[in-house]
Amino acid sequence: MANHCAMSQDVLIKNGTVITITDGVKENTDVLIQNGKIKSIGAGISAGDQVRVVEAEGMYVMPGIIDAHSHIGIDVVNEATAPVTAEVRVGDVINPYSVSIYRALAGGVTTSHAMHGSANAIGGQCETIKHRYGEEDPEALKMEGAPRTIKFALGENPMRVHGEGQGIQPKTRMGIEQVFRKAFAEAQDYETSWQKYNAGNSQTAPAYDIRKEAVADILSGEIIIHCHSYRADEILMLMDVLEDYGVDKICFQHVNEGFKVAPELAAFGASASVFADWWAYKFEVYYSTAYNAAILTKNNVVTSINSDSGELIRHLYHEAGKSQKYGGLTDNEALRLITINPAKQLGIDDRVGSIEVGKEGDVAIFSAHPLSIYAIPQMTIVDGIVRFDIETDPVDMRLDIDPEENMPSFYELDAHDHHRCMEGVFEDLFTDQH
Amino acid sequence: MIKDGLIHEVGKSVNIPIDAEVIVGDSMFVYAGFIAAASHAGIPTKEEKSKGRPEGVKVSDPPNDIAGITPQMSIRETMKYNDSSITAFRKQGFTMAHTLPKGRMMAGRGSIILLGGENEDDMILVEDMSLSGSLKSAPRIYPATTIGVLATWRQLYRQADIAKDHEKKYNMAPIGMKRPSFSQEIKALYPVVNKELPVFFSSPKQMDLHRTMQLQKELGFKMVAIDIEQGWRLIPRLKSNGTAAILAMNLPKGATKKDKKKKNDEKEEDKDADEIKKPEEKKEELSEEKKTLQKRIKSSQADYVGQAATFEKASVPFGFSFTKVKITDIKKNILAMVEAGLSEDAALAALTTNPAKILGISAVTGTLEKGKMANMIVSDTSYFKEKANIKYVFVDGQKHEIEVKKKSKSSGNAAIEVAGTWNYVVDVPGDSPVEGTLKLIASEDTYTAEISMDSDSDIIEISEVEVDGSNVSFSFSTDIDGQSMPVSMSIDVSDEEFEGTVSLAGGMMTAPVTGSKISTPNE
Repeated sequence: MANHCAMSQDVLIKNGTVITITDGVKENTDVLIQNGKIKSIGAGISAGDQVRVVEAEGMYVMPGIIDAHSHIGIDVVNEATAPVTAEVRVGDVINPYSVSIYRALAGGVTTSHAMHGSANAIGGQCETIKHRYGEEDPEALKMEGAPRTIKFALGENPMRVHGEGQGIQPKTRMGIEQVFRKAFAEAQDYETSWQKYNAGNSQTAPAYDIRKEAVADILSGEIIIHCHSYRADEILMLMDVLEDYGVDKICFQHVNEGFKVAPELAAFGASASVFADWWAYKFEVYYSTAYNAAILTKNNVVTSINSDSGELIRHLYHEAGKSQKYGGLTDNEALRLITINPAKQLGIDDRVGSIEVGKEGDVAIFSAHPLSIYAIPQMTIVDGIVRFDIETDPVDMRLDIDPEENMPSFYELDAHDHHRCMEGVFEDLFTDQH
Repeated sequence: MIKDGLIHEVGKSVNIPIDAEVIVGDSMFVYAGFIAAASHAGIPTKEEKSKGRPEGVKVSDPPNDIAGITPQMSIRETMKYNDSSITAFRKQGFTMAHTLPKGRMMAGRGSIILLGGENEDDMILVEDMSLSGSLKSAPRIYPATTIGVLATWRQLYRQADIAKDHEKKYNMAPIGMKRPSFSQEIKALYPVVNKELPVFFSSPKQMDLHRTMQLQKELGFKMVAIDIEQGWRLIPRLKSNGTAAILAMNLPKGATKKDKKKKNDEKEEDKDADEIKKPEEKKEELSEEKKTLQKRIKSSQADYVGQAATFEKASVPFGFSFTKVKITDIKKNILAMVEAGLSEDAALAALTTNPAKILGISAVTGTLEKGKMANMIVSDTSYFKEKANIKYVFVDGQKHEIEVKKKSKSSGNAAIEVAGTWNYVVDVPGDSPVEGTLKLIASEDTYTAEISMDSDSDIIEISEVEVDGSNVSFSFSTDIDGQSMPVSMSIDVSDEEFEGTVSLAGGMMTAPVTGSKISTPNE
C-alpha cells in the first residue's frame, strides 16, 4: 500500500501518450502533478528528487474515469419506506473500507457518484466520492465542494414499492407525476412561511420539516436532480413538471428511451447517463438500443455511460468503446462519455474530467489505448497519490476484516457487485409479508 | 467496617463493635463493588415476537413508540427489582449499574441503580440522568435504515430546539401568540438540546462510532460513546473531542477460543474431501489461501480482544458496557482482555473508578474509602485468577452470600445434554420452512454432527462441532442451485429442545431455527 501520509502528493508521469480529452492526444508527453494538482503537461519535464517518477512509455495516460451512477462505498442504498425521502443522505453512511472502491480503481475509475436507490419517486441525497482507498475517515472520501445531488426515480420501481407494496400513491405513472407536484407545492409553501418568519413578519417559527427543506433546496436550484428513468413519456413528463417549477438542473439516468426524445432533452438542457448495452430486464426497459449513447451524443445531449454496478465499473472503458461499434463515435467522443461528460453532470467539470493544467491530479494509465479490447489499467492516481498499481497489487486488499467472518468462498457472489438500485426492497416485492 | 450502609472504617487496626457480624477474610481479596457503566440490568428480557414489519401501521409515518422514538420513557416503568439479571450481575461482583431502557433510536432515559433492594424505588440512586441513543433502525417502517435514523435525529433535535424557544416566548408573553403544540417526545428532548442530559450513544462498530460522533459534532449534544467494539482507530478523535468511552464487554464469536492448530488442519482435510470435483493442484492452493485468510480473521479477532489494552496504552480511561454480553461470559472476557495486554489495574479502574467518574457518582462510590457507600466484593483469591470465587457481595451495606456451584466439566455429563438425533425447522424469510434431521454425536472429548434435509437424501458430515455449555455451533458447506454455500448454525440446547440461528454465506442471510429431540444416542 502506498504511503498515504498526506491527502495529495507529487508525481511525474513520463513519456506516455496523453489523452487530454479537451486538448487532443499528445505523444511522448509528461504530466507533472504537484500538491495533487496538474502542474504542467509537455515534453521533457523535470521535477525534484523527491517526486515519484512513473515511466509511462508505450502506455496511455487519460483522466481518471468518472462513474455518474454507482452505489459502491456506502452501507445503505434505499430508505424505501416513503415515496418522498429527500431528507436522507447516503453521504452519512460512506464506508471507506468497501473493497469495491479498490476494484473500481483497478478499472481506472477515480470518482463515482454514490447514489440513493430507485425505490422512491424522490429518493435521498447522493454523494460524489473520490476513490481515496486507504483513507480510513469516511469524510476523507467526500469530494469537498462538489455540488449537492439527489435521486429521483420514475416508472416501475417506485410504483411497485409503494403502489403495489403499500397500496399508496404512486400506483401509476400519473401518480408519480402528482407525487412530484405535491412535494414541490408543499416545499414552496414551506419556504414561503419560513421566509415570512425570517423577515420578522410572524411571531412564531413555522414547524420544522427537514424533508420539505430538502425539496425546497431542489426548487432553489441548489441540488442537481439525477433521475432514474426509462420511458420517453415519463421523461417528457418530468421535464414538464420541472418547467412548471422553474427547475432546470437535471440529468436523466438509464434513460433507455432517451433516443426517442433526444431533441427535447437537448432543448431542455437535460443530460443523460446511460448503459452501453443493457436492457430488457424489465418491461419498461424493453424498447432500447445499443445506439442510445451515440444518438444522444449526435443530438447534442451531454451523455455519459455509467455502471450502476460494482462489477461493470471495472471496465467502463470497454463500455465506452461499444459506442464506436454502435454509432460510430470517434475516440474522443467515446472517451468523453466516461470523463468530461459525467464530470459536467455532477457539476465538477471545472475540477476533473480532463488532463488540463490546474485540474486535480486524477489520472489512469493503461497498457494500450483505453478503447482497445487489449487495454489493461496499470495505475490509477487520485490527487497525485497512486491508489492502484498493478505491480504492487496484493491478493487481499481489504483494510478491515470482520472477526466473525466465515471463511469466504471464492465462488460466492459479492453482494456489492450487482445492481444495487433496488437493494433493501426485495422482501417487499417478492413475499406476501408486508 | 460497614455501618448503616456506609463504609465506616478502613484500615489495619479497626475497632470492632461488640454487635458486629465478623467475616474472616484471611487471604481473601476485597474489592470495591463493580459498576456497569451501561447495561440493561433490571429490565426483563421481552421475547420479540416477530422480526418483520409490525401489522396495521402506516409505513411512512408510524407511531413514535413503534418507530423507536421514546425519549420520555424512564426505566422505572419497566424495571423489576427481582429480575434475574440483577442477581446474575451481583454474582459477578457488580453492585451498581447504569441501566438504559431497551429500544431503538431514542429508547428513553437511563438511571443509576443499586443491584439489590426490596423494591424498585429502593434501588434507584440517580434517576433519569441520561438519554439512550442508538442508530438502530425500525423494522421496515420509517426510519428503516441508518440514513433514515440520522435524518430523524436531526429533525427531532431541531424541532425540540424550536419548540423550546416557542414555549419560552409563550410563557413570557402569550397574548396574540399561537400556543405551542404539546409532544411528550419533543419535550423530553429539551434537556438534551440544552446540553444538560448526556446522550449515551450506542456505537459498536468503527463506522457507527464515526457516525455518532459526526452527529454530535453537527448537533452539539453532550455525548458518551457506549458499546464500543471496534473503536481503537478513533482514539485520537475521542481524545480531542473529550468524548468518554465505554467499551463493549462482549467480544466477537470465536475470539476467546484457544487456538487449536491441529483441529484447523483437520478441518481443511475434511473440507477438501467435500470438494471432490477439484483437481489435486487446486486443493493445495486453496489450502494456502484459506490459511492466509484464516490468519487475517485471527488477527482481526486479536485486535478486538486487545481493544481495552490499546485504550489503556493510549491513556484513555474507559468503562465497560454490558448491554450485549452474556452475563456468565463477563469473567472469561475480562481475563481474555488481560491476557491480550490489559493491566489488572486498568481492568479494575474500568469496573470501578472510571464508571463512577463518568456517571458523576465518584463522591459516593467506586473505591473503598471511609464514608462511601458499602459496595464491596469479597473474593477467595485475586479476582484475576480463573478459579477465583466471589464469596460475598455487599450492596449498600447489605450482605449477599454467593453460592459457588460446582460445574462438572466432564464431557460425560455434557454429552447427555446435547448429543442425540434432533428434528429441526428453519424459518426461512420469504420462503417455505426447511426441515430436516440433525444428529449430534459425542466422542471422547469432541463432538461431530450429521445433518440432512427432509427434501434431500444427502447427509452432510460435520467434523468440528463447538459445544460451549448449552450452546452448540458448527459450519458446513451445502449446494444451493449448483453453488457451494457456507452455512453456519448456532443453537442453544435445553433438555428436549433447541433454538438458534442459521447463517448463510457469511451472514448474507440469517434465519431462526428450532428443534426437538427425537432420540438420545445408544452408547
